[in-house]
Parts: sequence; C-alpha cells; structure tokens
Amino acid sequence: MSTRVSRNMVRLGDGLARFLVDHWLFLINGALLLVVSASLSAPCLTQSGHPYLASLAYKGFSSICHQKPERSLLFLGAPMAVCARCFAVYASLLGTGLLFTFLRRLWRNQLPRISLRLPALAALPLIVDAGTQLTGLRESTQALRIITGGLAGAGAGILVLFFLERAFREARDSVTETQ
Amino acid sequence: MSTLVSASGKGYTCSECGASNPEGGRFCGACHAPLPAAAATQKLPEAETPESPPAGITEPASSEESSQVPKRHDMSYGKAFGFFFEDKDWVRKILMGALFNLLGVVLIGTVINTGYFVRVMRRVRDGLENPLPEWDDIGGLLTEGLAPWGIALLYSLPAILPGVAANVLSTLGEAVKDDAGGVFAMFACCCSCSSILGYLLLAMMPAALIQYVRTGEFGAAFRFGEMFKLIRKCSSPYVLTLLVALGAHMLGGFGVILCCVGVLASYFWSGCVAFHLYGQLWRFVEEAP
Repeated sequence: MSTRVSRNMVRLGDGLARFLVDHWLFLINGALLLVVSASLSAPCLTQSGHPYLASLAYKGFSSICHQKPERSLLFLGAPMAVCARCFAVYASLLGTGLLFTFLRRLWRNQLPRISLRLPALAALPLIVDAGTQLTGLRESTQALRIITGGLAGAGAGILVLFFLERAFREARDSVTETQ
Repeated sequence: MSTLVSASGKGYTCSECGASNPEGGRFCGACHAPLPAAAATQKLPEAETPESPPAGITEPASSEESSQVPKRHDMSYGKAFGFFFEDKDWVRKILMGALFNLLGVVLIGTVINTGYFVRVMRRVRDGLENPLPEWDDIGGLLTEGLAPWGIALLYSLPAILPGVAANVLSTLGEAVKDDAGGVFAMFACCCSCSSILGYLLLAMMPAALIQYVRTGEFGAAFRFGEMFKLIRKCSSPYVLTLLVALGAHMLGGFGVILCCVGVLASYFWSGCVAFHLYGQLWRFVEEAP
C-alpha cells in the first residue's frame, strides 16, 4: 500500500511541476484578470442593486489602495474599487501578460536580454508623480496617473515575465527529462 | 580530502567519524564527509592521476559505475512528494509530526518540527536513500530547529507586519471621515506596497535556510550578496521549487477534510516536501559548475 501511495504522490508531484512549467503564464494572466475584474465589479454591483456585494469588493481592496473617489475612474457612474493609478498598473500588467503570450512564440529560439534599467526607468515617472503629490507639492491629473501607472506596470511586467520565461524554459527541459 | 574506506557488505563506513552509512549515500550522514561515490565525482588533487586512485579507497568505483554518476544533480519534484511514503514507518512518523504540530500552540512543537525538516534537508543533500529521520532525539531536534525557526520568522515578518498595519490603518481611515482618514488610507497603501517587498524577501527564505545549514552560521542567512549568488546558480529550479512547495502547502490544507485534525499531519507532510526540495536545491548548487 505504501508503495502505491508513494507512486501516486510521485506522479502528483511531477504532474504539478509539469503543470506549473507549462501553464505558469496562464495562471499569472488568470490571477491578473481576476484582480482587474474584481476592481470593475464593485461599480457594476452598485449599479445592479447589490450594495452588500459591492461593499465586499470595496472592502477587499481597501487595504491595498486609498480608494479616494476624486482619484478613481468612474465605471457605469460609480468609482472603481481601486484608484486610477492602481487600476492602470493592474490593467497594464494584464496587457503585458497577454501580449507576452503571443510574443514569446516569436522568441522561441532566443529570448532577448532585458536590462534592469528598463523597469527602473518605467517606474521613475510614477515615483515622481506620486511622490510630489504625496508631499503636497502638486496635485496630479487622471491622465498622468493612468500614464505613469501604465508605464510602471508594463516595466515591472516585462521584467518579471522575462525572468520567469527564462527560468521555466530551463526547468521545462529538466522536468521533461525526469519524466 | 578525507580518507574513505568501503565497508564490507552494504554501505560504507566513514573514516572521518566511523559512522556507517547506507549504500547509495554520497555523503556521510553524521559528519557530511564525501563517501566514495561522491569522492569519485570530486576533482582529484593534482598529485593524484586518474590512474592512481585516491588514497584510502580500497574499492575504487568501476569505470561503468563512474560513468553512471550524473554530472549534475537534477531536481525531482515527484520524489519530494513521494519519499515520505517510501519509509516503512511513515504512519508513525507522520503522527509524531502531527503531534508536534499540535504542540505548536505552545511554540515548542513548531521548533522541533523545524529541526526535523532541517534533518530531512541534510539527509537529502547527503543523498541518503531514506531521508526521513527517526524521532529518537527530540532534544537534538529542538536545538537544531531553533535557529532555522528564528530565520523563518525573521523572513516572514516583513511580509506579515505591513499587511497587519495596512489593515489597521485602513480601518482607522474608514472610522475617521475627515482629511485625517485620507492620510491613514495613504499610509495603508504604502504599507501594502512594502508588504509586496516583504513577500519578495520571503521568497529568499529557502536560500537563507540553505546558507545557514551549509555554514552553521546564523548570520549567513542574512548575507544577501552570497544568497543572490546562490539563487543565480539555480534560478530555474529555485523558482519551480518555490511554486511546487507552495502547491504542496496548498494541498496540505486539504487535510482539513480528515476531521480537521488531519491538517496537522498533512501540513507536516507538506513541510517535509518543501525541505526535501530545499535539500535537492542545496545539492544542485554544490554540484553546479
């Protein structure tokens, strides 16, 4: 019995590793889609007459975003569950993930090297814009929040996705060998 | 290099400490000196040519055997899931682990289990055929587990504390409706961002534990330069190990369906899986070119 359990567990572990290696991008994109949909769901639920469910969505994001209505985008006439900048970051991460699904096929043989400067430069406008606003030097605009958030999200997304793609390409070979 | 002698029958006796080791082991389970199979893969000193076997090895590995020695240890994620059940005493051992998980409410059980996990890690690195240790030295496990438990705690705090602070601040922000509420909310937002950095730090915990166990120095778990080097050596299996260990932990949560108390045993199993993987990583790093 012990041998059978062991054999099944080995199969489970190998299967999990194989699944992660093959579908990691799908899992990341799925998680991001869930976050973006959840932030959009709050105004939808408000407008469709489900205030309790909407309050749960707002509450869910309350610890990761200030949710100030004047700094949030309106969807169906109600503010989203996150501010405009946060939404731009999540949406841009999702967009980068989806775009990467297609682009990585073009780089099947050789994955380009990504410099750490790229995400750092992409995050710089957000740091300046949010920093000057936080210290009270100036008040940002919705357009600036969206642009800077989108840039930072894309930069971070590119860095993480390229790192993971490189790691999982190597892992794919070893997982295939052991099976 | 240590002098090694092959034992008669199965296994080897380490000449460094005299401990007997099972067949198939690569390093001595007691003092971690390489055994003949491992010694064959190590670079010989210049004075020793391949024709003249290293002193002390009375039965050198045959050419067929040495050609079978892998150049690099490959990770086996399935093995980490299944090794526990290969032990003929696994039921008793998992029940002991569950018992100490239960004693985790007074902390001591968690420390003892951490000591057990570290032993699993060492035995996997040593290449022992059966890496599941006996429960015969509880005091030793307690001593061995204290430092790794502290390291794990210190690495977890930056992920946990800002999250807690963010929740408290956002609750305060909701309670205070004027401008101060907005300030609380902004700080809550900043705490959440630092919590993300905390999770990145948490991802370095396996490297920190490997560093600690291989050097025996508590400070080694916080020498980030060395840890980055270690991670760079095994970035691909490192990422997958983190995810598979997380997957095992999530599977461990399903133990709750066994009358709730099953979770104590299943979380113990998932801890053994994670540390088996860390042990494999350690070996991978040591054998990496």
